[in-house]
Amino acid sequence: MAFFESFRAARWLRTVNLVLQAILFLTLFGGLNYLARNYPLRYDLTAHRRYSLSPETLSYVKNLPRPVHIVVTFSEDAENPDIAQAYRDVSGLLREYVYASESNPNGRIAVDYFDVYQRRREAEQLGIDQPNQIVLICGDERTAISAGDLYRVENREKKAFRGEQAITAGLLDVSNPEHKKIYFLTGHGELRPDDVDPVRGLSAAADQLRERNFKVELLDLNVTRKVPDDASLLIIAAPQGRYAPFEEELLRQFLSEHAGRLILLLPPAVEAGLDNLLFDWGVLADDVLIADTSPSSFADNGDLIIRDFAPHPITQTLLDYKIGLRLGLCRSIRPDPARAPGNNVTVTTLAATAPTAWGERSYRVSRTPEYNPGIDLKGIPALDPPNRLGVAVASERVQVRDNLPFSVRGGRLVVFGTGDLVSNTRIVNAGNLNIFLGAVNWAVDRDTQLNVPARPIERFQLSLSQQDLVRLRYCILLVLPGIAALLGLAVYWSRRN
Amino acid sequence: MKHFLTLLSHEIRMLLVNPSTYIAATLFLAVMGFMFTGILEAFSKAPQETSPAQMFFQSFWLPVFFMVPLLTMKSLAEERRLGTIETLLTTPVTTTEVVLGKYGAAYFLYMLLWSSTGGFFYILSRFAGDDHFLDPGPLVGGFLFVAVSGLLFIAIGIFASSLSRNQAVAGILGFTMIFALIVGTNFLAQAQWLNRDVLSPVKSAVEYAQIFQHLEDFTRGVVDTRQILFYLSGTVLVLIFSILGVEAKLLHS
Repeated sequence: MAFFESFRAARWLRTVNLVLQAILFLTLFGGLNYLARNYPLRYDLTAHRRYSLSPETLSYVKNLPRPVHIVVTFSEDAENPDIAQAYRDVSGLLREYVYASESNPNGRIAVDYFDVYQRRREAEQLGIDQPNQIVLICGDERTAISAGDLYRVENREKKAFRGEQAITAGLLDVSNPEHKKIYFLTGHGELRPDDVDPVRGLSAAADQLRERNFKVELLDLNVTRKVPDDASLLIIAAPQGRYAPFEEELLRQFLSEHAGRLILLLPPAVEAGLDNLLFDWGVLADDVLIADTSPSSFADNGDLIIRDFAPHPITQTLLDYKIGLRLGLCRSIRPDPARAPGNNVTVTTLAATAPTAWGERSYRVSRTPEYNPGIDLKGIPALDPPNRLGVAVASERVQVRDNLPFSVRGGRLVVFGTGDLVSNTRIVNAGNLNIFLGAVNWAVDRDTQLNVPARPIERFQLSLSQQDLVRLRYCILLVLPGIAALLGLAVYWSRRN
Repeated sequence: MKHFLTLLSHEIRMLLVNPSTYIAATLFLAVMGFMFTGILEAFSKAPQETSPAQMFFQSFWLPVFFMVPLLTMKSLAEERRLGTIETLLTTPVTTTEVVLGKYGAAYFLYMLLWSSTGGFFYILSRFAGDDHFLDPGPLVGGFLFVAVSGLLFIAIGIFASSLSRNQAVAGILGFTMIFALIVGTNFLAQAQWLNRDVLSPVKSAVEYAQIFQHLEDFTRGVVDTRQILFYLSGTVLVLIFSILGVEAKLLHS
């Protein structure tokens, strides 16, 4: 009998067949998982998508122009529990960044964790000598984030994790060496970004802008007589006097002819001399003071609370996270009804009061405000939801060129009906900071990269008396194992019988 | 596969009427309860930023290392040692059905044991009078991780059992393989020699298979299709290897 017809040969043939099958399935496993790596889907089951990156971060990471190397020198086994917790918070967050950057071949994010003392040589090569920090490296650019930057702390207690804010700001910083310039106008008693005064200062807002890779400078049009060419955005924060006509004309030219961007914080009872500019951009700032009889519209310190927002890139985060604004004295800002439609200007009311509010015209007379029909400004029926007064408006001009098949984006203007929206005392309110940074990002075309809200820190504490705690312990140790043991005994006895 | 359900129900019935199953369940719940009370001690001393469920599932490896080999080592090794697998396969039952039947029963018991630990959280929330402790994200995510990863771990135990006639050898083999998968990948991911450019595919593969990272994602409430596919495809692969292993052993016995 030939070897190939023998049982032995058949057995070995079958064995080879089995081995080949094993190799085939192993290849299939590898191929399938390789494909899955490139086409991932990630679902955050938590309410409010707590562990997902914000749209701002995602849009930035997906468009990162250059690869970024992130080195974390926190230790998982640190003796300090805060550092160990920071390691856990940061590692989970950075994993989301790495996942998000996988679809961007130009700007992958790679993360390394190491102890600067154990891996001293590598740390020296990277120029890192400090523990407990996050270093972002992109080419020759680098920036460091310390543990203190990761949390918002009040009364020595961590209140919120703001790691995403810090890391996204760091990514912006290192991957784009060009810093966009924001000029704060001066010369008319405006709030200043270099002022640390709690009521009149904007230093905290300026710090937030610098953290986002913006360069903040002052500009007095009376001195320069022109808007600098490198101005990405102008901010007029609560002027106390009138702008001269030539200044208004410079601003009009900057907005209309150079597609400039302007944020205007216009407090009530002040004639800023910018009415023609506002009319040109379809915005009407009424000379009224918003009054309201509803106690729910005011905070303990008398701040007006705004809870209604229209969908817009500037307000999206406020809508998503249901955050409100806290404003001081405020005037009504609305789309100008006298402005003819179809002039390529799109005006959107961003934020509106409660329906109980009205615009008091006789606010200069010192008396309790009351609504006088026919005199005071009542809610606007056309607003959505209707019968409210607007407090912030965004206006955008899109220029349609006859000889081009597409439209060209023109200037952008955001007007707030309050002066100290982001003063040092009010910026601590998440809503105010959100809408301001949202307006800045929208104005400079980072409108898909709105600011990132901090994640509140949840704490779990078991408040039981010592006696209850002992009872809980015995309950856990005895009840469930006891049930299993009783079932076992029942089965044993039933089988014996 | 028409005999699969018959085999599965027989295996489950055999498990449920066996007093040793209840001994294992009692000991498992006692050990896990002991660990859970240890975790609660930390929560009674000071507020914690991690939920009790997240902390509890961090110790998933303990039952996996010990329970999985104990639940699976007997399945195929015992049949082969007694020679009953040959008898079984003379009936119109395929190797696949036998392996899947054993696998299904072991997985059923594994999940039964784990799901009974849900009672700890119920007792805790009743005592604390606060549903906050039944935080659905980590709780659902944690049990989902146990269910999905358990598919692979049990399959590895069955595969180890298919490789040896000796239960003890099968148990130790299963333990070693699971240990290598859970601890080995974690250890390798931190190895500096893997940072060389030429080894970057290996490093990314190791990072992809890091079980502790999967656990962290699941217990935070983040579900990733890649991780689920890793466990599902890994389970299918290991079960196919088990079937091929049984057939190869029968061929050469």
